[in-house]
Amino acid sequence: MPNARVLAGAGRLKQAARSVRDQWLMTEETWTDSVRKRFEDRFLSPLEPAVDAAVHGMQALADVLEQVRRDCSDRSESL
Amino acid sequence: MSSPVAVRSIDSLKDLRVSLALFGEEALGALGAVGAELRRTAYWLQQDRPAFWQEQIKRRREEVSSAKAELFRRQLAKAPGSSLSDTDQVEKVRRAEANLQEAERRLILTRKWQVQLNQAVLEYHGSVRRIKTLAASDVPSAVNLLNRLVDALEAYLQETAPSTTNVVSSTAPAPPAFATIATKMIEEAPPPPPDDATVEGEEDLPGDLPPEE
Repeated sequence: MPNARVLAGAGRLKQAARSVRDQWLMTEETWTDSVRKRFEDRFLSPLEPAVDAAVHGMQALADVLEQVRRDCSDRSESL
Repeated sequence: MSSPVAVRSIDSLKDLRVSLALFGEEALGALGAVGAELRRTAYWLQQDRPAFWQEQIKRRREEVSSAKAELFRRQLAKAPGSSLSDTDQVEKVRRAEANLQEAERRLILTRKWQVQLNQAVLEYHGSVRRIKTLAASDVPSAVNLLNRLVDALEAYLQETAPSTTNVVSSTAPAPPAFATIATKMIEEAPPPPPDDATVEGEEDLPGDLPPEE
């Protein structure tokens, strides 16, 4: 089982990104000028790929840390 | 000349501002928590495990010696033709040797992971570099921009339509400060860094990091 603390961090990041996306969907309904588009391009559009990359990296790290614990612990030790 | 402004709810901009601010805090908090877990594991691997398994190897070697000595004494005690069995002693030696081999294997794995974890850490830092920069720099810029836009819109509403709150329609004259502030800040905001940009401290490898309490 992958490292739970690292997976929790990935979940936290995903949830935070989801909240921003949901809020943005509501905001863009009430903000329809050209500044909105520029704001979105400059500040919001980069978030999703960055969050996806980070979540992917955290999940990979969670697997590695779990493997380290499993390989380097004694059977008698609780992980 | 200012662009037409179409903001139907200042509260919605305020909610977005709060949401972005929370995102920044949460993202940095999540990165910090993962970093702390990484440092804990790295410290355990670099500092605790080698000593633990070396001590285990020493102790298990002594157990092998002890088991072999016990078997030897048993075999000496057996007279030719005696029905005295040494099966238990042989099994004890076998188990002790297996335990020793296991400890030696774990020490080798520990040393292997000490190298491989560094590579995994580098890959992890590469994967979070962009969100770290966005959360630490771009998101606060966005929040600051929204602050100023909200202030500009509210000032405009107070000046032009004291009875109207929270609405600036596209048919109204553009609040002069709004588009000016927005355009200036968006243009002045530094562009997102390239993916291979280095963020301070992220190049640290596990062996260099202190344990996290």
